[in-house]
Amino acid sequence: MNTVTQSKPESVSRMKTLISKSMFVKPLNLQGEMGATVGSIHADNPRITCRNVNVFYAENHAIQDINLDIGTNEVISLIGPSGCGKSTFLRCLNRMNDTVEGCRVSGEIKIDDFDVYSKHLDVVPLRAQVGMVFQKPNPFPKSIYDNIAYGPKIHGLASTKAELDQIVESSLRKAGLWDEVKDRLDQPGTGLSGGQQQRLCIARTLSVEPEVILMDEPCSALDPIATAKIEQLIDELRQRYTIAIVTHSMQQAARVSQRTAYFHLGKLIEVGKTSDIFTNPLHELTQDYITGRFG
Amino acid sequence: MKEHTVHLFDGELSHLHYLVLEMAGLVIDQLDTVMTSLDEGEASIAEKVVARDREVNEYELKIDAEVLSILAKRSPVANDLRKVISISKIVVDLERIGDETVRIAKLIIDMFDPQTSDPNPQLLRDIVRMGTMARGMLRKATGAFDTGNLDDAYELIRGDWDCGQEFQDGIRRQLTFVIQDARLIGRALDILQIMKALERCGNHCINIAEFMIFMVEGKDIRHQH
Amino acid sequence: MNNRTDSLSTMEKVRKGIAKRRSAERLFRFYGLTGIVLGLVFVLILFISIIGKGYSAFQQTQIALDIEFLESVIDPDQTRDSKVISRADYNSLIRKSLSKAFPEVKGRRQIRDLNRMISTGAMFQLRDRVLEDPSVIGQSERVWLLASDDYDMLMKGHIDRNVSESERRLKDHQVAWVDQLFEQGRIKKRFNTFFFTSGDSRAPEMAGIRGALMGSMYTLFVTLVLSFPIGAATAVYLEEFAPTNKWTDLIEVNINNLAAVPSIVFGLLGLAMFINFFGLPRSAPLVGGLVLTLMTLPTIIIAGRAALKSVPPSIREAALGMGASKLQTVFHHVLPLALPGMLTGTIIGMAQALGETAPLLMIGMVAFIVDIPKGIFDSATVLPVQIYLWADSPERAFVERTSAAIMVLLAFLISMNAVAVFLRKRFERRW
Repeated sequence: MNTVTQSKPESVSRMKTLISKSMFVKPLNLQGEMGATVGSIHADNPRITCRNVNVFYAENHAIQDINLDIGTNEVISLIGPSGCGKSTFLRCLNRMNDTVEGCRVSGEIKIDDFDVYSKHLDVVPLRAQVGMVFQKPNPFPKSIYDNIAYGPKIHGLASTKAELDQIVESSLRKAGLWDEVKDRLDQPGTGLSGGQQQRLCIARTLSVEPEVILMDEPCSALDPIATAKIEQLIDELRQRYTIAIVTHSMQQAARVSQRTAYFHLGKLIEVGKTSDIFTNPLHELTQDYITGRFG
Repeated sequence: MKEHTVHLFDGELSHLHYLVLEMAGLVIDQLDTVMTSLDEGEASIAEKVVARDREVNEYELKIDAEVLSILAKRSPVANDLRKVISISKIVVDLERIGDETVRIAKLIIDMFDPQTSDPNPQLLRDIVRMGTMARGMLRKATGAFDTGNLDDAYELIRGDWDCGQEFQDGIRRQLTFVIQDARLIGRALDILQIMKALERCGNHCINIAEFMIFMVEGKDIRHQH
Repeated sequence: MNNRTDSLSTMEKVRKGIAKRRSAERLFRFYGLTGIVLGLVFVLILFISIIGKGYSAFQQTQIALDIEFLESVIDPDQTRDSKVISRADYNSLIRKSLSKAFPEVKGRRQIRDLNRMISTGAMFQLRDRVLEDPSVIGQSERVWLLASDDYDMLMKGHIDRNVSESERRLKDHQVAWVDQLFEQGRIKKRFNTFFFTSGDSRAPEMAGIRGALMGSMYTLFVTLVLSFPIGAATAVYLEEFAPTNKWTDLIEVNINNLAAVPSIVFGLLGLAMFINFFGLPRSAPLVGGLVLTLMTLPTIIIAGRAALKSVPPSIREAALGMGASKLQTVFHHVLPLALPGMLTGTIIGMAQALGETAPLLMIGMVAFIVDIPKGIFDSATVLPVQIYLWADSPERAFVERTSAAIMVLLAFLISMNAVAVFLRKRFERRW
């Protein structure tokens, strides 16, 4: 507090003795340490509903009793400190956790009323329906064209070359990459810049017409301009898709999402409208995390 | 409350907090001084108040600059954001109170002009009562801002201190004086202006209390009561 | 900044240490450089000695003789039947021609020496000549015939003329014949095609590398065809599909241990299993290939797994995230990226197999085999075994052939490595 050294009127020093010195505003309406989720878990027009989702890695209870709805045409951002289970939760939604050995999921996750963890469900169509974009841009070491065409090919979405061309073009257009790459579709996707690569990965995901897109820290490896482009793209995609995004950047969550969910130590602490979470969070842990008072 | 991981941010926020306190202290002192000058019938004291208004304005500029720099550098969210925004609003109200004080001081200087006779203390009683009320409200609002005491803030808003009612009563009383003696009409108008200024001070204090509540609770209760 | 006036400042301490650090660094670099230079010198010595000894084997002394292809000797009944022609006594034609060329030579002993000047294999040369073009029968023609090994050695300077006659393999009169032929221009060193076209022989001038080369090729072919698919499949299964549990751990440890088992043990296994139990033919490239497959599998599996491990997991995630099945992920994305590494591992394994001798001794590929193998079931020997056999032979002329065979083996190895480098460059893709 020694920054306050300006000359001040006598009255001020009097004020200071007059008024008690408790500096910070006490949050009065914040709720208990670790209880049930605070805020409304319900979305207006839910596409994904999760009830009592638990994930175990061997003995480790990675996420605990998560209840959350994700609405249609909504961007929901999942925030929280590292290891809080937000990525694990995201990967439950298209069963990418199946590839992790010793991972067990219980509870119910429904997308448009079919159960993601039903025994009869084949993950292949599920993953076509629920696309995923990863932290590091990971285009296949093939041409730009082949990168986009791969999904439609394996799922048999195009029967002729013309159809495939059409899918490639429209996917690249949706990802806002068409004008940048239309003259070099036969060049390797790995030769693009980081931001272009990530948009290529998004275009690849769009090529199989998913309903839901999961993004796991899609901008963590990108510079601010590339990040801004991706954020703009996310906003455009919201018209057609449901998007869940994990991010470490609070500002990004605030910018791109309509709802925000805060995870802490495997629990869903708080969900709410992004504007509410970032101006007036209900839970003390949320507030501490987003204001930078964590740990 | 935990500290920020970035300690400098805490320093900047508390610096801002103290600047507001200093400004509030200055404004309280202005109001006190102007009331003293009225009490003592001393125009020279009121002149000091007019002179010191510059300082109040400087505080406003300084605090606004600080608010801008925190917004730009720290992108505050949640309670930090509410605090910074509330402060930038509270400062406006404080500055207005300062302006009202100057208006009162100028009227007092006119009133106690050595050329004319001093006003009848009977006439001034309403001002003194309202002045005491305004001073109390400003102290309470400042104290509530400093400590985060919501009870004081709600007390202000609930209208336990009803400046408006007091002002209406004052007008009525002044009118009876004027009816009794029409020559008092000039004085009475001066006094009504002072009372109006003090009423505005009270309203600014209520605004401060409202921002206080927004800052602490995140509830915007303006224009609702 | 610091108030430790009694002790040295940080910068001074750092400066004091710099000289020591620099000298340590220089010393280390010197050791490294010395090691490399020493290594290069040894490799150079090896190459110089082998090439120096071996280059002469690529030339062979030949003698021109005027041969009369007498019909009475070759085909008295004028049948022109190839069976009759090939059974004819060509040696008598050579003897006649020699006595005509050296009419002054008399006496049984001298004539025998004279006849020995031409290789025993020369008759096959004549036979092949006639079989190729029977119209030559009844004509006379100058034919270049192989000289026998001692005369070859003399021409190449391996027999010293200055040594006293009693200690020399060729006596004075024999040397004189050579000189006489040389003056007439009828003895010459020509490029040795025999070395590359014929099989093994007791006579050094007749001995060629082709049998061993073909044996090596057939053996390696069997090894490659078996070990690459099995090794690659094992690596893919263990790395991509197998669950991690006690059993896979056990398998992994055992594979790593197998790579360190002495190769002769694999030979014993092959003898016991393939020959004695399954009754496969002895000395066959098939069995050799099977044994070498067992030996190279661990190398290929280990290299293959390392190659698969180096494929970034993000590629797998990308493919799985697109809805590719596990199998599609592996075959469309992981395997193409790992293939250069796997191929390199395979070729290293194959090179190792090419140079292997011990296990092949156990399954009988060490036999003296004259015929060039025509398939994987024929008896055969391989290059390193051939080198071993020739190195064991007493004749002076086999020394240069041993070195030449080593050169062929090295050339084989280097070209295999070149193929490995080419494949790497061709298929390597960055991600």
